Amino acid sequence: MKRKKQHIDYTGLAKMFAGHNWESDTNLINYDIFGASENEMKACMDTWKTLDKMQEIEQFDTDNAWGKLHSRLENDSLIDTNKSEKIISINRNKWMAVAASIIILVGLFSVWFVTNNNGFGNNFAVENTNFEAKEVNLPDGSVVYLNTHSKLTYPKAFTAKKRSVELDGEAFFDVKRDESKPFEIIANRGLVKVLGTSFNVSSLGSSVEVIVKTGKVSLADTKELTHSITLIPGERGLLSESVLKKESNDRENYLSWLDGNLVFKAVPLNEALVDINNTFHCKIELGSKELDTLPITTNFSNNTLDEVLEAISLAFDLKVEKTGKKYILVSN
Amino acid sequence: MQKSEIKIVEAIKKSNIKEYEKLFRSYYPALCGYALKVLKNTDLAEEMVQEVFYILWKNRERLQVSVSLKSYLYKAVYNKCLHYFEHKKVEEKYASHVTFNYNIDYNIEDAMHTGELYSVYKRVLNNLPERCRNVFKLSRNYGLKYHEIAEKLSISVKTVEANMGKALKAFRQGFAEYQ
Repeated sequence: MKRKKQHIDYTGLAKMFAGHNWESDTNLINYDIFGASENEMKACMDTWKTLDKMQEIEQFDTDNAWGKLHSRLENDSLIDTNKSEKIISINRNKWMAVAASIIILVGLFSVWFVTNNNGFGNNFAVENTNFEAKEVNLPDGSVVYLNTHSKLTYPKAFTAKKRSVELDGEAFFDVKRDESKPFEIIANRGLVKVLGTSFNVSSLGSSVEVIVKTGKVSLADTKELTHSITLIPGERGLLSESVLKKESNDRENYLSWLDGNLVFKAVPLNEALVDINNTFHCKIELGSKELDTLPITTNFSNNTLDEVLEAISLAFDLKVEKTGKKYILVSN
Repeated sequence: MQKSEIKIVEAIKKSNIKEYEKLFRSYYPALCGYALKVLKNTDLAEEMVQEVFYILWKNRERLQVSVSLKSYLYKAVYNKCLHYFEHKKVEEKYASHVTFNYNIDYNIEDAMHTGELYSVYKRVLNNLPERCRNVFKLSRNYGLKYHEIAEKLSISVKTVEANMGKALKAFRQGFAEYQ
């Protein structure tokens, strides 16, 4: 009998393997329907099993481990620091930048959580429906401050190789340094990776913005694996659609929502109101276009909304009109 | 011992940290995989392998490799684990119950073979077209279902299926010589 030219349906095989329960019987498989010979079928099954074995090895973070080993050798004076300085910075960048580890993006409304080798479930989801910042203490000692209408999902314990959490909305992260377990945040299609540092992450619409306060953080596009930037204090990273950009942070008041501090240095009034509105969750508007460009220079530190309105009205000789939930500032 | 391996050993003896790093990076995950099979604990596994490399560098001037660098490293990990296990045995003599779960007899040849497969795996993985690699990782590393992958990458389920098939074929061919 002439042998048919082999056209093996690997797609079908993979689908079957993916859905198959390996715990149970692995022998009852109709290899015929995939156009494969018995040998080929066996080879594919072995391949699939090998791929499972590979997972056990993949979990080990070599970049991280090398960083640790290198530091230890340095500390114990076993390597020439001068010579190896270049190597250190190369390695740090390497591990800071996102390698080819793929992360799942989360839509605005999904509650789904990524785990590494921790299996499924055992997660907490904390949502802040109030206007005050909500403090969340993570199992490793890191603290996250959630802004209003924001949600953080995290595991009960960080037992995997990485500390991975998911954010919907905006939060300020104060991450506890742990070189053996990098900290990751998934926000929309962005992946933020950090060692131990403090920074603000805001996922709005479908974009992600990261502003660093202390330390170093990387922001990557989960849809373009090699696309990532590293941010240091004073820098702001933005991932919008597939555009990833880094700029110096000109948003002086990016933490006002959390610490109640507002600093304005000759800022046009209409721009200042954006920050004020975000901080107090209110709607203040200007009565006329001419008022837009009035420069305001002042610091507000844990003041109430009334105090802020009073200060502005006095400074520019304005009066406050309230209609419903809106405040309108008009010339006196 | 292969010529290339001799070169590496010589380089490390002369304090070439770049070669040492290369060696570390090629063997670290697979060696941890082996240590994990023996000690059943990932943190401990990493500690053992790190220790092996630390000592290797510390005593590099006296480094002597006879058979192959690979078996040298695997044996070193084995010895570290054995040492740890014996230490634990002593501790447990005085403990009320046995807590340390180990498998010192895990076949070192199997471990080395798996390590080799891992290098092939990495090579095949990196050569996959990007989307194929993405789909594969999302499915295997992150345990996502096909429809979830389709949603995340904004592609159809059929495309996910086809990519998984592509990956399977690539790995099947890659592993062919080794299985």
